[in-house]
Amino acid sequence: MIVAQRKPFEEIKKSLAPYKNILVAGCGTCVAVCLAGGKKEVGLLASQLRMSFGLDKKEVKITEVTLERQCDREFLETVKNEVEQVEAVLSLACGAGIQFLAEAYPQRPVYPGVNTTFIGVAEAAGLWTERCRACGECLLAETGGICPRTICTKGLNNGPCGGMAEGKCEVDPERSCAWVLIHDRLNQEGRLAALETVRPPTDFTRQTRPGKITHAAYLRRYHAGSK
Amino acid sequence: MPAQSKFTQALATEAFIVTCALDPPKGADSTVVQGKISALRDKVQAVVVSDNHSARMRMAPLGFCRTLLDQGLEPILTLTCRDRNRLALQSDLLAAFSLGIQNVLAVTGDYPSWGDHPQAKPVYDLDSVQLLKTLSGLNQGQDFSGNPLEGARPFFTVGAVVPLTASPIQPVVMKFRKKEAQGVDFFISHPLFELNDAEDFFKQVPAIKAPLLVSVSLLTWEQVAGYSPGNIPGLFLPQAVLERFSSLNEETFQSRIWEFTAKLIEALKKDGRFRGVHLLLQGQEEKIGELV
Repeated sequence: MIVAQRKPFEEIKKSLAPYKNILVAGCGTCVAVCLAGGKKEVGLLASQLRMSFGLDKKEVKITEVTLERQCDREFLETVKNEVEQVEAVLSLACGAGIQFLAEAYPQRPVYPGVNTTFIGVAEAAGLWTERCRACGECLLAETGGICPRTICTKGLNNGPCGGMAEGKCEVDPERSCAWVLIHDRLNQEGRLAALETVRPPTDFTRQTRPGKITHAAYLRRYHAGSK
Repeated sequence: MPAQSKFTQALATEAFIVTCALDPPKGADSTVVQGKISALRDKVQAVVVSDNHSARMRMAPLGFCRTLLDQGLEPILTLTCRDRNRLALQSDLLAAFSLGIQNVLAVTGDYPSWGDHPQAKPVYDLDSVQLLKTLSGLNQGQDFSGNPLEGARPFFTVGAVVPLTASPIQPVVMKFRKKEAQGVDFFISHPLFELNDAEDFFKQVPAIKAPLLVSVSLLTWEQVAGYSPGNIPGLFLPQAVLERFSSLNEETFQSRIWEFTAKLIEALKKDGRFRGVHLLLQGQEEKIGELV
């Protein structure tokens, strides 16, 4: 899932300072799971904004809504009335959702309430860690299910750097070196020979931004090539 | 066609080689390190010029290597994968060769968070193995994409780094084999403080095809006093060295570390597995005469 973190309250409040009628829009998927922008977080943030503006003796109307998803037009359409009744929207969706909401309602300023950070997993309660860099050419088959482009801070393709210390990463001694993990995993699977091949560098044509994929069944409809 | 570099010629002899690391100045004026340049002349076969050492921004090694050549010193250009993509790495290499810089040490590069521009974008478009492969391609007259180079081919003398004392050693040996397969002309190790520390590596790699220069670091009092494994990339201090030096006051430390380092160089010279030493004098380059 996409993992995000709520922006500091003061930054959010500052961005909303010019407005007196604001919609706080949450998203019910990834950001809800990582406790950054779901219904509960929308409620908490809306209350905090009301209290804070109240202490400033500023009259501000805060409305709350949480969409099923903000990365899908059909759900964005469901909040048309709410958006049209406010001066500005604060979106707690990931960066993709925020942009899609802004695109759907060009007449309203849309502000981000979260910083979108990575594609990751829920490692434990309240702990999320990155697992995928969306490089477009998955090599997990050759690396024992451990991604060197993500788990290795430097994204190296051919083994550990010289900064690896006692199996830990040069950059974060709390974290295991990706290439030590890959080596151990392939050793356990009896596939160490997979590491002997010199891997080519990452193909960055697959990461040309912004990415676009058309499902094979829809090629004719969109007249677009699939990446 | 220019002759092979003096360093390449030295590698071909039986002589014990001495090289020394030197950081370019933190500024546009090379004369601020003139004392160090002068001290190294006639003491070393080559000077390994660092490339934004520890991710701290300095003069580009390409320009500083040319300054050394002009003064009769033999430079080895360090090139990190941290700061340049494959286009910039290759174009810098071609510029280097055209300026007479033939020796290259290909390294990954410490992460920007260690340096004085921690918010910089880390590149790592190629890794060190791929950079070695690129150098091999340039020597064969073609770029990384297979396009032919115009004019006479460059002939770089290509070096790579090997951490002899890393733990665990198996993934390091795996990467070393990949580097070796790219046709490396010489290896430089990470600093070694006790011969025993390299035994795990040599058990797995009984014979290295290319000449191996072993790094000897003149430890600083701060490094020993503040040491913990991994707090300086590539520096692994054995327990015995820590016990011997960590309790000393700074003055006593200074006098004993020079003696220790000189004895270490002698021991490495006698060992027979190393073709030379690479000195990391950490700012004390002007005193190289006390060691070699």
